[in-house]
Amino acid sequence: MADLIWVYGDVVDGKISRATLEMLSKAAALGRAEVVLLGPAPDDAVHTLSAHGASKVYRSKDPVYRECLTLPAVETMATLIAAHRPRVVLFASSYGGRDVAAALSAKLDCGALTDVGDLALRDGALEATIPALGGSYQNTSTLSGQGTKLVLVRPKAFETKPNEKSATVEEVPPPRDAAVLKIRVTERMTVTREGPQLEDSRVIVSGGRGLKGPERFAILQELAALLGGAVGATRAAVDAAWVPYALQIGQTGKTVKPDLYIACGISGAIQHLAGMKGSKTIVAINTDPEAPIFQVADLGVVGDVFKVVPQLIEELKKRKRG
Amino acid sequence: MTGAPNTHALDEHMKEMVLALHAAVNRAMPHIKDDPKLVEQALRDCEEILAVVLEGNVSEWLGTTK
Amino acid sequence: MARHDEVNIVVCAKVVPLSSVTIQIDPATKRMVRKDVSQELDPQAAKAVEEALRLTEKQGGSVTVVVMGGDDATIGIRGALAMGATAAIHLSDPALAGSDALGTAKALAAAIRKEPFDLVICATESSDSYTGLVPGQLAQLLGVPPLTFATSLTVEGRTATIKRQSEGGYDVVTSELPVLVTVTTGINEPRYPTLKGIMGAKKKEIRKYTAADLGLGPAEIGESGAREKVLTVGRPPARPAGTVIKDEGQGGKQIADFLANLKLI
Repeated sequence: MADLIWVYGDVVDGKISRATLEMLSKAAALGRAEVVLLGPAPDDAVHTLSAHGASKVYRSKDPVYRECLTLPAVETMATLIAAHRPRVVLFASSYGGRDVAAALSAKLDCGALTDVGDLALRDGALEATIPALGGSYQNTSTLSGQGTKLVLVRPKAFETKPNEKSATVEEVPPPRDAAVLKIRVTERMTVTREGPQLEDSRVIVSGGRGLKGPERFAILQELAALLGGAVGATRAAVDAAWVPYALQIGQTGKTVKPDLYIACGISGAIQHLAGMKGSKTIVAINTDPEAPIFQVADLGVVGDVFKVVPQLIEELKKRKRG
Repeated sequence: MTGAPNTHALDEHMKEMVLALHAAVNRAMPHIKDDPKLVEQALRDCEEILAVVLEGNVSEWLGTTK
Repeated sequence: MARHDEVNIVVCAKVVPLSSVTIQIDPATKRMVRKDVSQELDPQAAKAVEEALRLTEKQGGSVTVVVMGGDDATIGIRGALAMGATAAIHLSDPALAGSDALGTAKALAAAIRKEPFDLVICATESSDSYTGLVPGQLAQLLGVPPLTFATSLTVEGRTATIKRQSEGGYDVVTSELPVLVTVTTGINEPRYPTLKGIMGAKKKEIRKYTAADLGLGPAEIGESGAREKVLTVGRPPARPAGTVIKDEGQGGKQIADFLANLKLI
C-alpha cells in the first residue's frame, strides 16, 4: 500500500505555484500524491495538478480562504488530515504555507520540519535533509510520533516532472464558524518592483568598490534580472553614493541568505562577509587574487568584472533560448 | 582563576554598555549622509556612556552605594 | 489614569549569539553550542520591542518582554529593558533546554497566559535557528489570530491593521484584538539603549519562571518533549567548491557551467 503524501497547494499570481508542482513531483515519487487546494484557483488547476502526478485533489474555490487567510485553511486541513491520515503533508515555504503549517503543527500537537531540502521515507519513518545554519551544516532530521508529518520544503528543492495521472476531485466544504473569520484582507496591493526584495531574494548579485562607479551597476541589474534576483552592494559602494543604502549588505546593512550570491568587485571585508556568509553558494569576481572574498567563495574568478559578467550574461541568454 | 567580588556583575554591566554603543553605532552609520541629526544624537549618547565608563564609578553602576 | 485605548503588549524575544560569532553544532548533543558564547538580544526581536514601544508611546500601555533561555540570556533581557520595555519575564530551567519549536511555543504560551494581554509581537524568525515556527504555533496555542509578515502595524481602538508582505507586494490585513503579530526586517530601525535606559533597566522587574511554574513536564518540553529530532549532524558534501580560477577569456562561461552543475540556472 503506497504511502499517502499530500501537498498543500498554493496559487500565486493566478497560477498554481511552481513550488506546488515541485513538491507534487516529489510526492508522486514517494508514494500516492494528493493535493489540497483551498481558495480561488485557475480553471485548469486540476488539469495542471493531474499532469504532475496528483491522483486526487481536495478542493474548495470558496473565497473565504483568500479573504481570511490562515484560520479557515487550518480548520479545513485539520479536518481532512483527521479523516484521511496522510503520511506526510508538504508545504511550500511561501507566506501562506508557513502560516498554515505552523498553526497546524500546534493544533495537531505534532511539530513540523522546516527548510527541508530532501526527504525520504524509510519503513514509514520520515528522514529529511536540512541545510542547517545557512548551509554550513547538512543534517538529517525526523519527527517523532505516529501521526501525519508536516514538512516545509525549501524553494527549488525538487524538480518538476510531468507525470500524467487522472486525478479525482473531492469538493470540501469551507468552514463557517465565526472564530475562523477573524482575520480580514481589506486590500491587495501589487507593487511593481524590479525583481524580488533583497532579503527575500534567492539570488543576489552584489557590487563593491571594484565597480568603480554607479553606472557600472547597470550590468549587475541585467545579470540579476536574468537570474530572477536582486542587486546588493557593499558599504563602500553605498558610502560612495553609487547606490542607495537599501542595497547595503553587511554588518551595518542587511543580512542575506540567498541560494546564490555573486560578488562583483568586492574585496570581502569582514563587516560585509557578516551580512552574506550564510549564502548557500558564493561566486566571486575580483581582479585581486589576494582578496579575502576568495576564501569564502565556492567559485572564485580572478578577472575583470567588465569582461566576465557580460560573458556570463551572454551565456545565460544562450541557455535560456536553447 | 577566581574573580574578585563583583566580577560577574561588573562584567555584565560592561557588556551592556558595549552592546549599547554597538547598537548606537549601527543605528547611526547608515544615515551619515541622510540624517545628520540622528548621527549627532547617537554620538552624544555614545559620548555619555563612554564618559561614565571613564569615570569608573563602579559602586554606582552596581548599585552598591546608597 | 489609564487611557481607553492603551495596549498591553507582550514581546517574545530570543537572545542569540552575537552576529559575528560562527555558530557551531555539537555533533554529540546535535544542538547548537551556546555555552561561553557572547549573547545579545536578537536584532530581529529588537524590532519587535521597538514596534511595541512605538505603540505604547502613542497610546499608553505596557511592554513585557518574554525570553526563554539560560542565565546568559539576562544580558539580552536587560537590553530590551534598556530600550524601554516595562518589565520582563525570563523562562529559565534546565528542563527547557533542548526544546524544539513547539516546546518553546508551549512554554511561552504558558507564561503569557498568566497575564491579560492585547497584543503579542514576535519577529518572523530568529537570527540563529530561523525555523519561523514558534510565533504561528504560539498564536494557535493562545487562541489568537496571527497577523504575520508585517511591514507596518497600527492599532486603533481594538483593531489591529498590518501591511502583510505578499508575493506580489503587500496586503492590508486587519483583526480585532487580541492578536499576535510577527514583524519583518523592514518594519523599523530599533532605538539603541541610552545610558539612562541602561541604568533605569536595573530597577525593572525580571520575573523568573521554571518549568514547574509553567505547568509543563518532560512530555512537552526539553529534549524529551521534542518532536523534531536531529538524526545526523554533518557537513555538506564536497562540491566543485573553493576553486579559484584565473579568467583567460572563458570566465563568464565557466561561471555559467558551475551554476548549471548546481542547478542554480
